[in-house]
Amino acid sequence: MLRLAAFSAALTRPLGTCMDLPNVTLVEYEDDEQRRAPASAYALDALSRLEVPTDARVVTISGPPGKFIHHMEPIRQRSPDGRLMGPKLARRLRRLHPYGLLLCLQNQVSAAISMEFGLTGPCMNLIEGTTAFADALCTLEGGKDHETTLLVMSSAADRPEQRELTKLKFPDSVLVEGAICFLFSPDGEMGLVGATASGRATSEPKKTNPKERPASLPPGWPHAPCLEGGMCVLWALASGIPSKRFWLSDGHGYQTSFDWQKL
Amino acid sequence: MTSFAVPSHAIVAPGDLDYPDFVAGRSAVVRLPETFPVRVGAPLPEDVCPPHANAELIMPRGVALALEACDRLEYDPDAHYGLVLALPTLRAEPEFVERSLDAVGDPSGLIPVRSFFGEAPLAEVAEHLGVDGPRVRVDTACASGSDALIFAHQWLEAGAVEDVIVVASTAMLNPLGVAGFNNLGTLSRDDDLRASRPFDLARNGFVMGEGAAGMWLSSRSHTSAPGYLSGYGQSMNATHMTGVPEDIGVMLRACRSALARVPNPGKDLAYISAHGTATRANDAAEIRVYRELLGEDRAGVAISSLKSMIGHCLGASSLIEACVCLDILINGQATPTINLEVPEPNSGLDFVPNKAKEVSGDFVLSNAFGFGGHNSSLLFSRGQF
Repeated sequence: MLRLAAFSAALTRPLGTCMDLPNVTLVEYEDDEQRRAPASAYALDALSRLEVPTDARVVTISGPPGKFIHHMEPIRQRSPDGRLMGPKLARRLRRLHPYGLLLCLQNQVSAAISMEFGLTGPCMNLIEGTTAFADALCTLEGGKDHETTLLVMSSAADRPEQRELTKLKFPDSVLVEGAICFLFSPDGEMGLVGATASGRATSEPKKTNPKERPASLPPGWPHAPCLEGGMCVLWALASGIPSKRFWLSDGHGYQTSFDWQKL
Repeated sequence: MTSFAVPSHAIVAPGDLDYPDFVAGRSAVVRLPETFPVRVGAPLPEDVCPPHANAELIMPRGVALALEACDRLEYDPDAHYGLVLALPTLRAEPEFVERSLDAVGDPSGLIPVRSFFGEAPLAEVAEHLGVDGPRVRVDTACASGSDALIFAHQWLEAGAVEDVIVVASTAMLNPLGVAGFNNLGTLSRDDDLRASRPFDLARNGFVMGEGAAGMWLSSRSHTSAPGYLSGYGQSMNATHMTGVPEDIGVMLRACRSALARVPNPGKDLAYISAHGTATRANDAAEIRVYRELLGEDRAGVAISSLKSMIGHCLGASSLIEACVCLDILINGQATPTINLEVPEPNSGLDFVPNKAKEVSGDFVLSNAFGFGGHNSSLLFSRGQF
């Protein structure tokens, strides 16, 4: 299992007693659409409170980076027939801001933290997967060449493009945006996190109700695609849970699990 | 690092070209309709994954191409697989954008495009393949295909699963996707079917393609496996979202990590698949990387860019190129870099200009250097190594 050495988080809604943990803050993000997507801004905010070696191995789990469609609205407005894909499209598309594309790329969190903090180690970016947290853990445990591993989860799903669809699936949900960072190293003393004690994935898929929320988090907590594995660990830290197996669900009948053990 | 067998691989390449076409130097680059902001691109033929209307649920083209790659891949349907899907953003697909604009103020309009969101694309591909093991989706831009293979290798090494199917797909060859890259200044604006000119002095940007690929990676014994994934390396540039670093050390580090167990790369490598986008910055940096990597032996290693024939298939490109690397390892014919008329002077490198070349050796290296600074190198070997 991986030894947790440090953590930090920047979140748009409070997560119970987790807000009493050091390095966990509430943030309000002012849209800076020409420069940086919210998911990147949250990750930079959270990571600024950790000391990370520049050769650390990095895994990012990225949810929606932020709103994107609005970049296309001015282009549609100039269409003679009111349709985006209507006449004179090639000419109208000249007005698409170059950053419009960059802001919809889903590897921008890994790129942003690499540039900001000079991280040049191996990097993997997993996207759109609440279950990815557990599926990534067993590969991280195999990273013997790199003693320090940084795991960053970041998501900006509380936007019009995403919010309503999420609510179709999870009707009672309140969404939270933000980033959660974990630094694992051989001398970490906060706790152990792993897919299982043996390093093998425990992800034996079980058919679940697609509308069923993962059962591991306290009732009433906000929902956050791609952040929930991190939220489970924050909850365990804040509550002093000695050991627990957490389950994550993708809403399509696939589940993964990981173990937490306090040190 | 353990070698893992590649029992099978398959590609869905622009023009529906395959290895024999590449050896023959055929190009998939054609003129694009006037709705596009540039003149040339490398699409799939219309009969491969034709769009089908379903008002109830629109399948993303990126997913449709991924499913096509799955259908072309031979695998044991009774085995227990994991799935790594390299599928970058689907948010630039026109159906999605148009319906999302329509849905402002009426979210029910998003229901037909719900398969673009969240875990739906990964679930769709997993269900199509019958995968019942672990599954993740990777996006490291143009390095996605390579990084998906690396993730699969790490799963196998950890013993999480014994077989993994890796699928990569990209479908941004539409007016919106092309405009995004064009407005960044990365595309060739030539009205010339030879516009994709990696390593040529007159190169001026990449030509966009679309496609997909699949590869089965296994830790079980496969005596007839044509090749093995035997090494990999990754690094980040930490410099610029779209640029390449002045200090090529980080790119070299990825290559050297992949080659760590190869005693003498300059003599043992049969071939290097370059990222070779035909942008001025990328190709110049790659030339420096290969000169440094191969040293005095640099003229003896065949290096070429498949993108000269099929354009840049973005997130799928490096898995398509990895598949062709295996074909080169099996058949001993390095595919050419076409449209290479005036090479960069004094590089001392063999870019296999315009005509395929016989090669020998037990190893091939496949490189990808993606937007965001993701550097990814793969080493394939003929035997277990």
